[in-house]
Amino acid sequence: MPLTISGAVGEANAAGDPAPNNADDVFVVQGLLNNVPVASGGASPKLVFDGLIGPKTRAAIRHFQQTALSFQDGRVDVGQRTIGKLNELAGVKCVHLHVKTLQTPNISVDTMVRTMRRVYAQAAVGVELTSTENLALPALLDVNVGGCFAGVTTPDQDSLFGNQNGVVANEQVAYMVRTTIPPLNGCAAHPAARPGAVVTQVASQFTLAHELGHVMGLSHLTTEGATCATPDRRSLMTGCGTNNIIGTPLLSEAEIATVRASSLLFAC
Amino acid sequence: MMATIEELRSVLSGDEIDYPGVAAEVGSDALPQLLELAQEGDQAIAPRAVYLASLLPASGGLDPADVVRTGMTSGDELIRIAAAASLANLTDVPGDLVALLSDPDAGVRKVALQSAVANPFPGAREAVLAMVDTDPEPFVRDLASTVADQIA
Repeated sequence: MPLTISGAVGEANAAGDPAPNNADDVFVVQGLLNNVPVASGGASPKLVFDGLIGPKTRAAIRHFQQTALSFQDGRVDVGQRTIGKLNELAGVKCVHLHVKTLQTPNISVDTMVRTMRRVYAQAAVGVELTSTENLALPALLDVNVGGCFAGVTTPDQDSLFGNQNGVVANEQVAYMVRTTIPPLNGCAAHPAARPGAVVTQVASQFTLAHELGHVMGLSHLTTEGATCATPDRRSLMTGCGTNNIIGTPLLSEAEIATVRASSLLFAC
Repeated sequence: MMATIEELRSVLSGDEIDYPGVAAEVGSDALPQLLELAQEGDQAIAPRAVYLASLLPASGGLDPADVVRTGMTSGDELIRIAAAASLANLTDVPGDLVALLSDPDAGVRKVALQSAVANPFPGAREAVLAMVDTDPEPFVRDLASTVADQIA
């Protein structure tokens, strides 16, 4: 099951047990409802992706159930038919992610991956952590990334990305390093046919999702000004620092379409 | 353009920063604020302030090397690495900054060696030659050997 929930979302069950409605689970359900075609019971208009179980999300669950399953109890239970049908009709795809750690980041890899899963749920894209590996490579702890231009890599990057243990075609690798030269949170420039990104020790909880967004074809917003005079603190692809993001960052409809069209996704 | 310290902090918060572009936008008027950010010592911002300063010309009595020097003396290796990287950008590298080649952190020494190739500075060759034989880290000795051949 590609996009799962850890607890029920929606209404109380027949026995009166309330659904936990944990935010991460509500995000998953909202993302799925927004990606199910309207004709198949998907949300219309699309739900605000906020992790909150309000009346619109509750109504959308019931509408989906009635349309796709011919019943409605307003509740999405773990491992049951509603979450299964949501995954099926939303056409969920998955990132296969390998994390190779040279330097433990200040924010844990677990947190970064969990956050990435939450963010990409709005695109009905799951993140499978395929492998983790520690690399003892002192010479590459601090990676020269040059101008961090797409398609242009330095000898340091070429060496680093040569570490592909367990990685198959189109799987993405995140290398956790101490720092880059020049100093960045991360850099998504990678050698051809080795998709991935470098993430540094001081990265935010959203940097991994942001950098792999670049890998999957997303660009920075163009509306923020050269010196960040008008930063967008709600969007994942802000160029003004993901550590300044408020709440769970959003992807636009166009960005969701770009991600879902990426050749770097797998059937889950 | 004159940038406030908060504007600089904001633009230096980016996950990926177009350093040459930002340098062209803010100009050397930003040097005092960048010195302040370097002195604050924030692990995420200070390295970037140091590096950005190194791309700017001197102005009003403040030399970008002064900002780099602040980075060199930091207790945080991330900031010292940025100082070492900045050596590649400075027009004139003061003699005391050669000390980055003998930093206690191997990563700082590595980056300083790479800067010495990009921008051979006074005193670099002598220091590099010594590193070939005496650096405690094998990969640094190897790099020093390569660098020594490349700088006059």
